[in-house]
Amino acid sequence: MYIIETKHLYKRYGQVFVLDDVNMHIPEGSIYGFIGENGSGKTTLMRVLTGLANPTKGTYHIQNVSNLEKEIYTVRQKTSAIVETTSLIPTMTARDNLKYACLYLGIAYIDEKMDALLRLVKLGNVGNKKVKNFSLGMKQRLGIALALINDPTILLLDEPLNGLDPQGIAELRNLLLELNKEKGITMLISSHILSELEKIASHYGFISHGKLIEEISAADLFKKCQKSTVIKVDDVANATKTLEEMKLRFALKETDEINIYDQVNISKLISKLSQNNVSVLAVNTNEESIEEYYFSLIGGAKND
Amino acid sequence: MIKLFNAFMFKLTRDLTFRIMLIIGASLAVLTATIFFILDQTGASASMGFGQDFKVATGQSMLVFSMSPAQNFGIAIPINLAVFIVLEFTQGTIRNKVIVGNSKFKIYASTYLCGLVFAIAIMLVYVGVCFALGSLSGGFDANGMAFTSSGAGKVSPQFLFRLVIVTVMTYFTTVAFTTFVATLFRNVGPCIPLVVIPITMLAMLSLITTMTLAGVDTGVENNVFIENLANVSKFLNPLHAACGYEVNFLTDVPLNQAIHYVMSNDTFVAAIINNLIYTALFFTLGAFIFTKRDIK
Repeated sequence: MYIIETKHLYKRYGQVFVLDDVNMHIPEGSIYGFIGENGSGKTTLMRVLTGLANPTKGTYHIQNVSNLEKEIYTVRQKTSAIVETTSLIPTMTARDNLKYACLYLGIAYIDEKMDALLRLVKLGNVGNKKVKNFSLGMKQRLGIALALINDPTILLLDEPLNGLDPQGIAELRNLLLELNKEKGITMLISSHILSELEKIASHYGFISHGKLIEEISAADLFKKCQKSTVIKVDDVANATKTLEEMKLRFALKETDEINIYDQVNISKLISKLSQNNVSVLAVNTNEESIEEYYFSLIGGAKND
Repeated sequence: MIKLFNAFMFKLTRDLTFRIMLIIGASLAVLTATIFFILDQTGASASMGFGQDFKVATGQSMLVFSMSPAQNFGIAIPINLAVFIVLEFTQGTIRNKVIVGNSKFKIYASTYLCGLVFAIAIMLVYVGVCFALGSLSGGFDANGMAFTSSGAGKVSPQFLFRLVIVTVMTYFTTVAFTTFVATLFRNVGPCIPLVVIPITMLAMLSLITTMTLAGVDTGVENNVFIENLANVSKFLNPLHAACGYEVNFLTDVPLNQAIHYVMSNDTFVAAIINNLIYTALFFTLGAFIFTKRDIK
């Protein structure tokens, strides 16, 4: 079951389609890593899903409720998001910001719960320090606490790792994983730090120029990015015929290079190819990262 | 809606702009009362031409004077209100409210209501302190003349009652207008002139037309033109009744008994109706724009 689903979603600013026929599917309980270059439409999609922006065309469903239905407001009460920047009142303390959020959410401010939340995001000892005196990382963490105040079932985080130091990144990563596993919170996370996303995401969506190019589970992506053997040959046509005979999965990489995805005995392979008059000029192993996979998808520069 | 309003009220109690405005309001009231007290004590009030018994530092006089939206503090309120509302956008707190499922209409309505509380609370502090200090200095002095932006005149209980009503009504309109402008621009820069200029111009229009018709030398001589302008202002200007007062002269009585401020039935009714119309218009326009536009 998809907890968030978009159907032919378009968003236009002026003459430019920032979202162009986006059909996204976020499975319940997943951590959906949302990847795309600057200006690809990641934030816009999050803004549409959170109700901050109206779609130009198309619909979306959150927990099977369409954005056109009134019940969407009820569903949103269990959705939280940090889009672009953390929205806090700088002249208030962390506790007052939480109290303010409790009031507009219509939930009781319980000291113990708020203390636990602040401790969870490592802000248990900020006392009466006003938010304007917080570091960027502290603000980011308070934003996360605010986002968790209504016990959300869905959490949308736009670049949540921005401004965090390596330790902060690791702590937030662990916190998100914990929330996902223990509370079953579905997450849509966009980040430029793909190596970090790789550590937590169970599903991925790749967006470029407003188009959702591919959705893939982490398991499938892992298979696609798995180690391959690259051979350089003098006769590609004969080589591919040989590989087909050997029932190996492969793909042409360059004009004279072939990627072989199955595990293969190199000496046996060379001997078989030489029997078919193919000379192997070089043999290498290759492991594609999520970043390289993304680049190959959008057709941009490869990170060789 | 109630939860949004409660949240706004919580924010208001911790808002620096609001606190500063309350302090400025109270301080300005003390300063005004002190100046009025000095005017009375030095005999400057008596030499203003309204009779030897004329005093400005009385409860009634300071009440009428401080209520007028035409004076500086009356204009400072919408400016600070605009800043308060714009901060809702720039700090992203409106965004948070939308994300967690509050309808944009309810958010706009609660913003308007909170704006009303903001404006009326500040006005009440200023008017209340002025009234209290005036009463301490010269008593309420119901039979004395009230000093206003357009001169001085006797005030009947009916005039005072109507003035309070129309003044409160003008706050409904100015808050609706300010909320609309702040929502439209979401930036303090253009908001302040766009709020100040129309309010000042409408207050001036009311003052100049009523003062000229009351015989005060305003430098405008074409009475027919002024009469027509006063009529237009009466029916279209939401600040007309609250800023400029019509005057009824009695003959064969001393000057300090001759000038009576009046608010005719049609002026009073027109003020209520046009304020309600402007409030509804700006509220509806603002709410429509707020619900249709994306939130940054």
